[in-house]
Amino acid sequence: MSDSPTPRLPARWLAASVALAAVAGLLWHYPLVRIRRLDATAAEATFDPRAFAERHWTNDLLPALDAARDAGEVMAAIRRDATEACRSLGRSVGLSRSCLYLVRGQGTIAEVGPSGCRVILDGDAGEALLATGLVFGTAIRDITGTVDPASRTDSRELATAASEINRLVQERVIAPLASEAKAGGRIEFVACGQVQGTLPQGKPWKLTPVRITLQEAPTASEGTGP
Amino acid sequence: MNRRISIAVLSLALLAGCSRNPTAPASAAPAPGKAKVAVVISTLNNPWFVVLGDTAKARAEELGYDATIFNSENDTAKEASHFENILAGGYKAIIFNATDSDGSIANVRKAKAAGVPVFCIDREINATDAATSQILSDNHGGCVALGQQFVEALDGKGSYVEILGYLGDNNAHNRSKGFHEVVDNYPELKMVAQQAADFDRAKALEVMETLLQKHGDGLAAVFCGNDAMAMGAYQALVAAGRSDVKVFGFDGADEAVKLIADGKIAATGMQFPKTMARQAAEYADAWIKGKRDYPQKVPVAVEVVTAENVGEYGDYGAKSDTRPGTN
Repeated sequence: MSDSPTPRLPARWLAASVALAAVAGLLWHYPLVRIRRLDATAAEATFDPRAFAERHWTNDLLPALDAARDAGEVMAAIRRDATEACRSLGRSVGLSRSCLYLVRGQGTIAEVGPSGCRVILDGDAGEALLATGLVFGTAIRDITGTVDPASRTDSRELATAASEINRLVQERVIAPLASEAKAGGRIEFVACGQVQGTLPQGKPWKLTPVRITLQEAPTASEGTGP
Repeated sequence: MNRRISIAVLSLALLAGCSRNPTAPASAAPAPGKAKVAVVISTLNNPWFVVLGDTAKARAEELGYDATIFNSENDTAKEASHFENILAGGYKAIIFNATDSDGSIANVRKAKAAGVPVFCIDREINATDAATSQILSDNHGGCVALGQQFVEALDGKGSYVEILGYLGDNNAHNRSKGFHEVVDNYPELKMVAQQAADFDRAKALEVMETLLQKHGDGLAAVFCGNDAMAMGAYQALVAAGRSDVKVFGFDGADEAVKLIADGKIAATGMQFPKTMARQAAEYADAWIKGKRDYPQKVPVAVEVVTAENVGEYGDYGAKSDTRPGTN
């Protein structure tokens, strides 16, 4: 038996090389340090509030309008019992005390000005004041209940989305209302209202329109019938 | 053998030493058999946060827990140290008011990994897979409403300054953004300066003093990102004899509500700290009893308090609040 280690060296080197290669392979597939976002995917990182608003408008808001409740009935229900009205006809967001309602109505335009378009609802149902100025807040974003507050990690993004949705309402609904509505004309609308507590007595309900159909006032020669 | 016992005793002594919390208020030793709930608050250097923490603690105690408040002193390192102590100390749940929307995420993840639920209140963390639930004021919406009140009070014209909160907190951005979403539509409203005072009353006083020297002539209003800063700004204005400058705050602090009633400041946004704190304590209780399904984010609408409706508010909330958990 030889005590010289020389013949064993190639075998040791070979074993060491295999082991090193195996470790390198493992590290390649399972690195000790991985760099990736902890709380967001790449798609989330590029939030586009305009695109979000357009999608919401088309996919959520417009389809929801057909489910709007009659404005007169909702007003009467709120005055009877605001808590019950909110539970059965409206929706509140999170732990908020205010309630959102999506309502539809039709009536005659009494006046149009910077403070709004005042509508006398048919059937003595009351009065509505449809916004003709700037729209702010999150009511339109939240009225459908389809925007999950947890869908974004940073709530600032959904705040920006709310502004963009308001901009669409401004451009597509409020601008035509402000420029085309005339006192004496007829209007059909779907609108969003926000109520905290109950409705003030003797004042029209302030609403933000999301869909309107205008009909011109009849001319004197057309008359209004006997 | 003796050496091993000595090491074990020393280790236990070290562990006990580590879990002592120098910034937590002194409290009685936990009652035997009572589960522990931690209430971690970003700062107690502001009455609003004191109410937030005290309410959470009181509600947790009402529900049968031993609750302790930990003060992070607006320091994420201190906050991290509290979390380590809490996790080592066997707490069953954490009610958490974060110091930093990004910087606090790691602490929440650590708790989650240890199986301890975290319920965020008032301040958001920028992650939706870490906290069990986040109960948060709608800061943006509240400041939109406050911005509308601001425009009305100034009749859409005049110069103003803005004092911002701590910029590491999403709330500071959301409040400023909501406010500007409204006021920036009025070209005759001119912001002559915008400066941060970290939600701190003393800093806001100094900032307001400096701003008055530079921009005092014709100044019509100051919008502050919280009531503590509004109080600081108000003090500076009183000292300068400028009762004509309208002060707007945000939070719904009792002092601010009283000054609105006295006609000294113009408006604030009521954030309902008691509602958020109670709800978080009730969520923690439900978790300990087995509930696992929670909404990740629970918004709480902010309400504008003005001279017109101030009678409806007080004691950090609304007088006729019928929400669950409210009095």
